[in-house]
Amino acid sequence: MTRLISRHLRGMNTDFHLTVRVDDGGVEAEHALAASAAWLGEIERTCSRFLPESELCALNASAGQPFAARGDLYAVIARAMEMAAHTAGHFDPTILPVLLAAGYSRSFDEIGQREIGTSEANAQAPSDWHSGRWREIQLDTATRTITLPLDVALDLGGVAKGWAADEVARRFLDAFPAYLIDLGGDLRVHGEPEPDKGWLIGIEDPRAAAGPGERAEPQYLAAVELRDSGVATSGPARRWWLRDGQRVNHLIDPRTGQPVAPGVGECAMLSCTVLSPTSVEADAYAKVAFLRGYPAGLESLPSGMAGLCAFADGTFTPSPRLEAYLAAQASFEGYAHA
Amino acid sequence: MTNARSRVRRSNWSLRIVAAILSALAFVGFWQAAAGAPRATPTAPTPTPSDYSLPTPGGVQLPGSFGSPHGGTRVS
Repeated sequence: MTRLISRHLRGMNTDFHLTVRVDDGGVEAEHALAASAAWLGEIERTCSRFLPESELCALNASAGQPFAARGDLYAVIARAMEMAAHTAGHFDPTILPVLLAAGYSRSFDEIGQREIGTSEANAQAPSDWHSGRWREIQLDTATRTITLPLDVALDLGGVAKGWAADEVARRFLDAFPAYLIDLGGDLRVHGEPEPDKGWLIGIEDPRAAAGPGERAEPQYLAAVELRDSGVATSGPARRWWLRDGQRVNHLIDPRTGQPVAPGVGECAMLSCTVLSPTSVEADAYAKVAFLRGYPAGLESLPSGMAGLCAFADGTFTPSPRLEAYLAAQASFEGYAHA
Repeated sequence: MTNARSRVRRSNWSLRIVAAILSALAFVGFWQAAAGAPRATPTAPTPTPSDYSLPTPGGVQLPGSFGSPHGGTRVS
């Protein structure tokens, strides 16, 4: 009997939802979902900068000397470096010093949408911030050794969830005919949850984004039907805090080392959604598209990706390739990506 | 008797005129529909400059035109 089995859990300071279509009793699916949940917990303990005992914190503390990383940390950092190279540094995993300077020194559950004052944040980015230092990071594939330059520290918040969604698909759910992996809104979907229908994925209305800890029913601007895709949305609507009454958000522009200034007025862009063959690419490029602004962010998406930008007046605009992307997703046989 | 016949004739002519108007309206409506002319859909959201014409299924669907999604991408 065909049905969907789901598991919901909390991780990386957000909500995870895993759903698998099963055509039998579902025992294997239950095992796969449990294994996925356990692995996601391991990844958080490995990659979180908020856990002092994490391997990422150990790596950041070892800047200036080679660090022998375990497989998963090495893999996610290697992927982050690829994203930095592909986006010409618009995505930059070395922004941790400026994130800290902006006040993002504790998990978002603790600072989200609250006044933090100036004690935890400097008003300006560190004066020694230089964009592009990700190029100085050395990766040795043979020994899985990572060498960070002195004064460089990594934050994987912009890529870890997307990468993890791809890895859950590859490692645990690939044998199932259809699955949906939702790690805090970064999605990876595959197959058809029911005959002749893809996964219907809502695109959140950024004007109604719930705050930290809120369990409001999501409100969607639109929906897309997907059969094999990653999806992610970026914007300042949810992850922001107040510093002396001034709103600051977590989206750092690596070119300036400053948080992106939120737009004002009805024409302000509030979010960018990117659809890509993998979740990690969608995750990284959603941020890059937002940083580049409208319309450059959508127009500069690589071939094989598409997206849309949502605005403060409730409208949204698709990228030039969105129609073709969705048309390719409309057929289960025909969604080979360009 | 003559007056009665006149009233019948006038009544017939009125009916013919009404029928002709209705036929003309139906004719115009048919061709509008056949040509795919846009018609008001009171329940649909107000079109905006960012509206688009994408195919469904698989295309972007506005609120009201889709059921409950299986999941959603959230701003992060």
